[in-house]
Amino acid sequence: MLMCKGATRLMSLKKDRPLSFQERLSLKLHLAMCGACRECDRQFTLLHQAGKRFRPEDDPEQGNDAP
Amino acid sequence: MSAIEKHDSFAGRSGYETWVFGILKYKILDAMRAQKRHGHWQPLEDEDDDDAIDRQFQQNGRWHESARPSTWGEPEATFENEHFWQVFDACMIALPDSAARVFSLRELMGLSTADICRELGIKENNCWVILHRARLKLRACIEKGWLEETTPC
Repeated sequence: MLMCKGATRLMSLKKDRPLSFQERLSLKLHLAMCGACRECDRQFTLLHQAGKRFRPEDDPEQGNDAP
Repeated sequence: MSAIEKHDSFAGRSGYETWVFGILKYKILDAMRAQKRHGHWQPLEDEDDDDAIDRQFQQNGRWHESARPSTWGEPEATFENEHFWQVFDACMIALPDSAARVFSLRELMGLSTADICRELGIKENNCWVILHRARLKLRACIEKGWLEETTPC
């Protein structure tokens, strides 16, 4: 079974490449029952968004970042 | 190189964000200059340094009680908070050089791990491992530096 450390590996990985079906499934199952990992997942996402704010305006996902 | 120069053009960000990015850009450019001089990217010296990560987890793979992530609040409010960027900056600078380099190229420059690894001459798998560690170190560092110093208003 996937533990928290392994779950953070998948949370990080999904920021860099699409997860396989198996990976997505085990991450979803883990997140459903682990509040600490849900927070970690939000933090990784926030770090990812924080980085995007440094990029030029050519990033289509940046639309709602405007002040 | 030109991809980096291009980033000079961003404007309208807060002073801290600008400053942080300035420092990181030089961190990356220094490494690239060194790479040119030596003909190869500097070795990723801290690949085996897993201590900071292992301190966050117990043997069984669960979070250590002291390292359990807490909520950082809404992203928009977080990004408006200048103290967040001060801590973000301090934590980026505290990252080992190779982690800071790969994280910056990936998250600040928005390059793909395939591109980063081609440029650095490392396997993509290695890149993902470095990014996983960098993110875990950053989150722990930011949580410690930011939440503990934030006074409720």
